[in-house]
Amino acid sequence: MKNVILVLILSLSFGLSQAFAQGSISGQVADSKTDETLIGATVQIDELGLGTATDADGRFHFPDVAAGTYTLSITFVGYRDHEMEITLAEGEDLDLNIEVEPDFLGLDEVVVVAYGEMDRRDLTGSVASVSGADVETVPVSNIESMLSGRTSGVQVTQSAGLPGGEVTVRIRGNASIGAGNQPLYVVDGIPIYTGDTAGSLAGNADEHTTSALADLNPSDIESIEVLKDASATAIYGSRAANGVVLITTKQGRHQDTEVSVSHYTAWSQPNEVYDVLDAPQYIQIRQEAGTWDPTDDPAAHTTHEWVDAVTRTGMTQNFDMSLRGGDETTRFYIGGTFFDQQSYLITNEFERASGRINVDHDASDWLSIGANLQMTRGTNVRVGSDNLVQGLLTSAALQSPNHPIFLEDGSYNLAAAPGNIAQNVVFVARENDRQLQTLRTIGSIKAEIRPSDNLLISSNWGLDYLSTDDYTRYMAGHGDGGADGAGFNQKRSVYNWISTTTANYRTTIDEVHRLTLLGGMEFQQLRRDHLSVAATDFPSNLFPNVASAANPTLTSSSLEELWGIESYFSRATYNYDERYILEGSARVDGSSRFGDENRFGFFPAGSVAWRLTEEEFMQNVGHFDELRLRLSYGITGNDNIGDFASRPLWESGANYGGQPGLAPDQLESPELRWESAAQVDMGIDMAMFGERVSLSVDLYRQDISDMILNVQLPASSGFTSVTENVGEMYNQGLEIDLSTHNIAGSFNWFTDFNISFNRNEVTQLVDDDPILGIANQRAAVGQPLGSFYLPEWHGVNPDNGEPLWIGEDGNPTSNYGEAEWDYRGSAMPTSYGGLTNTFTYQGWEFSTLLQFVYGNSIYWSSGTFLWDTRTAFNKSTDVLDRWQQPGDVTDMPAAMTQANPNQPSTRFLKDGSYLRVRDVTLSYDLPTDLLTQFGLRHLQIYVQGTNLMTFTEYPGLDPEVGNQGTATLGQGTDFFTPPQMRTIQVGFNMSF
Amino acid sequence: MKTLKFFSILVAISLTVFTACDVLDVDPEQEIPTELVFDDANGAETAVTGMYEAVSFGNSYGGFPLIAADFRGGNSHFVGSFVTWQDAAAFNVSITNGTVQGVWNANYTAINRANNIIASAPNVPDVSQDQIDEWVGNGHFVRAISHFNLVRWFGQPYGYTADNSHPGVPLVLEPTEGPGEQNNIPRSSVAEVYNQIISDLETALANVPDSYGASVLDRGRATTGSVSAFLSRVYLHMGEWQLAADYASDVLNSDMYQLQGSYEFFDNENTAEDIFAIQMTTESNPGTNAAFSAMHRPSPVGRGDINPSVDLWNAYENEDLRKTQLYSVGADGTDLPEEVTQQSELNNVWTLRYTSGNYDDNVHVIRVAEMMLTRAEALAELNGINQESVDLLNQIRNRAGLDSYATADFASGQELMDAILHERRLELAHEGHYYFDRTRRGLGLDGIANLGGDSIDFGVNEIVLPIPNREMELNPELEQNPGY
Repeated sequence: MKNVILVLILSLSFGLSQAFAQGSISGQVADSKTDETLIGATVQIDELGLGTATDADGRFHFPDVAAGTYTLSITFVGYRDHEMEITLAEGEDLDLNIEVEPDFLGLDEVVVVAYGEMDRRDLTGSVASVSGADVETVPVSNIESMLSGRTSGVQVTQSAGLPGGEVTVRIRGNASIGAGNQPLYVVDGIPIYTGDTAGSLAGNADEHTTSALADLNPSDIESIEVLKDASATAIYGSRAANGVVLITTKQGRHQDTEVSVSHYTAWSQPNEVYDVLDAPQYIQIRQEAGTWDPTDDPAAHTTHEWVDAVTRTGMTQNFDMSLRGGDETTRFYIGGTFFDQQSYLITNEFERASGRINVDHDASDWLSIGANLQMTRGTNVRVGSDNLVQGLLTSAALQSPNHPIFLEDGSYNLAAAPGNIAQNVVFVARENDRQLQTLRTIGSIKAEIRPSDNLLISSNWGLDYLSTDDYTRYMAGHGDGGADGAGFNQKRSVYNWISTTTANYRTTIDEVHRLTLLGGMEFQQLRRDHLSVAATDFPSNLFPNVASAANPTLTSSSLEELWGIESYFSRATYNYDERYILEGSARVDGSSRFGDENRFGFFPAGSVAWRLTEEEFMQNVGHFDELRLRLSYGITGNDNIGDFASRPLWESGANYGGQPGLAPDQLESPELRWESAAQVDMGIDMAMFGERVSLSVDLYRQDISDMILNVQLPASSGFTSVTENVGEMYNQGLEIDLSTHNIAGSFNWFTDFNISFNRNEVTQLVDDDPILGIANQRAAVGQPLGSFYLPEWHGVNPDNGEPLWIGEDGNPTSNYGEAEWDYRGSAMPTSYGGLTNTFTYQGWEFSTLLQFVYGNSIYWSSGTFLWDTRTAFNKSTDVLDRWQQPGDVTDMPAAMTQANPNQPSTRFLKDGSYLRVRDVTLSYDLPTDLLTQFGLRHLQIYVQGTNLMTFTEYPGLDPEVGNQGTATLGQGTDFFTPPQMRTIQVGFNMSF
Repeated sequence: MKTLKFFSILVAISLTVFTACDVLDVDPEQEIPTELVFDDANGAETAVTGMYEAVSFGNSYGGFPLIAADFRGGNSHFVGSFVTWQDAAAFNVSITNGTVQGVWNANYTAINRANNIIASAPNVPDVSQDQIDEWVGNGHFVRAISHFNLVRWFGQPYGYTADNSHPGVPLVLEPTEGPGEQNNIPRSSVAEVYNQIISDLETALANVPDSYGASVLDRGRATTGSVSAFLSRVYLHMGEWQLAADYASDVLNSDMYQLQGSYEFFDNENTAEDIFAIQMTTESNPGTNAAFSAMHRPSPVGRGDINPSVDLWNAYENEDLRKTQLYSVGADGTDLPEEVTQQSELNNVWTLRYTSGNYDDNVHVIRVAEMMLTRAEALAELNGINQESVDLLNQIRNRAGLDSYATADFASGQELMDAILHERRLELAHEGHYYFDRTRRGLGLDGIANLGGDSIDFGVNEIVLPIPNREMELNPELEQNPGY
């Protein structure tokens, strides 16, 4: 019956449309300043839900349009939205010439801010935006990596070149020593969990960590906003000191359903691999060192290429499909993606399948409801890295090169090379099994109530649930598997819920006073649990599960994280005549983490902007299209001080003889509270010459106090530290963003350049004693964070080949104990930035992104092994330059065992500056008139190269490293960290 | 309509507020505050267990300090890749050596746990005085053996100066409450440290039971037997021969301890051979590189980092069961080399004293054979050639399948003494003694395998470990050992 009605309706409408003569609307879209026609601009007739894009001549055409009055809207990136009302008479063929105004600054762009949106022109704080469209083709697993080099004040470092790994993001430098420096990530209003989720059987902290942000799918992203100064962030209160990253996903919109399909395939290689000795060289060096039979003939040994055996050309594939559309009352976005990245290390692979549904519906003229839901399944087939004896690149480089990988019968050579603990990493990779599986759900339900035109009350209930299953199985017969195999299984769950209610009131008085008021409250709690088991002695390698093993070695379940936060906040924005903008905000945060005596914290901010170009006296001054001054000040906090750090505690787990034990674990600290950051920011934004040049400059200073520090205790106390609010430091810096439209016309050349300078200095520590970090990094008063404290290497004594350091008397000494220790550089760069050049011609676009980091040092810990001639490990070919006879002038000591040249010194401290060709893309948009014949709206094909070249003097594999994940005092450490991938990629984006 | 709007707003806000209940009211679940620990007997008991966990650490009695006494004494060859261990084996230790820092930390962690027991156990409500005494006695025992571990590694031996005024280690006798200058404790002299150790052991002896009625506790905690055994060992280090002999006989006269007829006690846990043994389980050592079997056994059980030295190997007679039964070639070969001339001939020879693939071998800290040899040595010092010393020595030799001596076989007291010390070396090899058995007698160290067989003279600076640099920087009261 229903079908009959449907058919009837369809026939009726068909009949109706035949009954009236149809007209058409066509036209040409051009730049109002240059008169250049614009290709690819979106043209829509809102009332009819019709949309198209301009062709190679800038023309569009809507055939068969009924008579009536319509709103025609034209949108195009870099231009102000243009709307016009047109009336089409019956049978008329309208031909329009439409001019749109360039909006190089994006002043009319709507920018997502904390708890709302704002026109860019109303901003008083420092907010950087990156559009999802700009970065969604970057072939990386993590969203953070896409920000690299694209905006000032944001430094992005991938900890290792393996997929799914942690990424270090620093907004305006480091704001903490002990409480973490990762920004707060907020996805559609939900502050999400971002920590490491992996584990390992041996609890190796050095291994490359994983990131919970890898669960987000880049192609779902509409925009990423980075809130940098205190006026933008203070409304996030006690969690905002490291800056805030707002991630907004794509929402549905009122249009014909648009189906988008995209795909890319990428091939990757390691940026560089270790150049190690061949077998004869290795034997010879060991003979010289006296650790190998001197009568053995080096030439008789065959070289086995261990590094080649564990590397390959990796392949990445991404398939993405989405539907986006809606009508006047209901809008939707549905997206699904499959991403598969095989890295350059054998067996290492990361897979992600994700789906998202975003729906919103206007239930009435005063009530809207909406829901966002994302589910992601991730599988990371991990390999050991960094400081692990089963690390593929680590052991491949260090394995004795005369040690065969396989025996003559083709089976693995499972014996250890004499004196060498390196495992057979080909066995490790191929036979052992290590998988991290994650299931992530991020969802929210929202209700918006409009009691009046001015007032909007919005409630949002969100859930972020993550469960991980980390599985390791070491097979019998080798290395960690021991005689009968070992297994490990760890499950984690993160349960993070939040509820937020805000009221937003807007009014305009006498046409010149615009006022916006926001008030809200928010409650959040996060709980992370973990359960792990390990066992040894399996009946055979066919049994994957720990339950099959004979001897349990670990059974553990624990609460890893639990905290709650209760918040009240408000913000007022006042705009006078588009000239003066004032904003004030405040938040009160109560946190379970703070000590009893400091449960609630108060975080205020204020800011002002003055748009000089709106003033009478500026109307004929210079060539300014926009000139704006900004000033802001505010206080933010960092609550990442440990969940129960304020309490005196005894910990369970101190078991002995199979009986449960308790041991003192933490000393009391009742006044413990958040770290505090007071930041002042002065900015100027300008646009000139018909918006051909735009420049933003920000100067800031951030004074951090009450830093949570582990006050070091003499270990004779039984503790090594206690936590207190004691430290102070500051960051001050300068950020410049310069964009120019160098050539305009049918051929366009755009340049975007950003550079950030940040200076950090630690000004107060406990008793001004330095804090010792990893690999000789320190926080020390008067020094930037992460300064390396080391003796100075003075090379090799030409007389005897022994190492020399500079002694306390200023003279070279061969006695390491007499060497003078001092500060020799910092892991923090003095400047960093990026340069993007984009060239467009008709449908062609070519763009390059150069990214650089300057002025940081890296402690190349790998060198302490690769240059060590005392051990059985293989060595870098650098040792061929060793001292051999008196008079040899070299920096490489003789091969010997009596002296140890590898003790910490500037011998291994290297300049980490680099300039990298991070991204080169050539794309072509097929002409619209061609596409329409196939029913397509849009088709782009592209080829892209990532990390194609790196210019650096760093001797390690890659200067973009983070051996210690995101650990603050371990940033500039490289211990066999896998290098970044160098990638070539081809792909297409299509919609219909 | 207006009512509906108002109602909706009310629902939205109250839902939000409803979720807020007790959002800040959370507690840790694996940890409890100090006052709850000593709130009842169960809490105090688990705290005592937790104290022994620290004694079992790989840098306390559970690993390095014992293993290193053999490769630094001349009994074994460290061939592993750990640089901090290599440097220790080659007497080339830096002030930043992480393992040395670990030894310092582990033993002082045990001492702080012990001090907490000593201070808080007496306040546990509703328990008998005997129970409190037992806890406090265990606290004193752990404090004593941990200070003893420290003073033997960080100070020159007892007797290095005539009045033993040379620096020992900081004596920490109160639980740590918080940061402050009270934690900056200077090094006491070796005499003061030994006096405190004796005093703590005597307090322990007066308070601990003969037996707990469970073998894990009898061999793994302080008993009158294990405290007496430590007193005997400490007095032996001090050259207080009569006291060493007396306390040894106290142990040997106890029914709980009995020289075993074979070496199977190395495979069986908590036999009557053990007086004090670290109670390891399969969960004690995963990933702990210092575990004894991990170090001493080759793949697939362990890392294969330690071989016997040439000197030790040649010291065994070929028919000595401690050679034929307690060593293998490779994983299980029995074709042992006879006398050797080069260390490389022993590259595939491994001791079988610790064999567990799960690293759960108990560590035999003090066993009956040591007490017999201690008494034999002390009596020989006091009386020269004497029948009891020879009898004790013969019991050890007979078990190893070797012939007995008669008193007439020794021309002098010194000859008897040499025979006892030789036997002690062979009997207790790979168990953490030889380095101290040399230095406590003022002897240098010979045949150090990691120095290519070279010797180290008694009294040189390298004999002792440096005070860790971190401690020197944090505690201005500390004085570094000369030469570092």
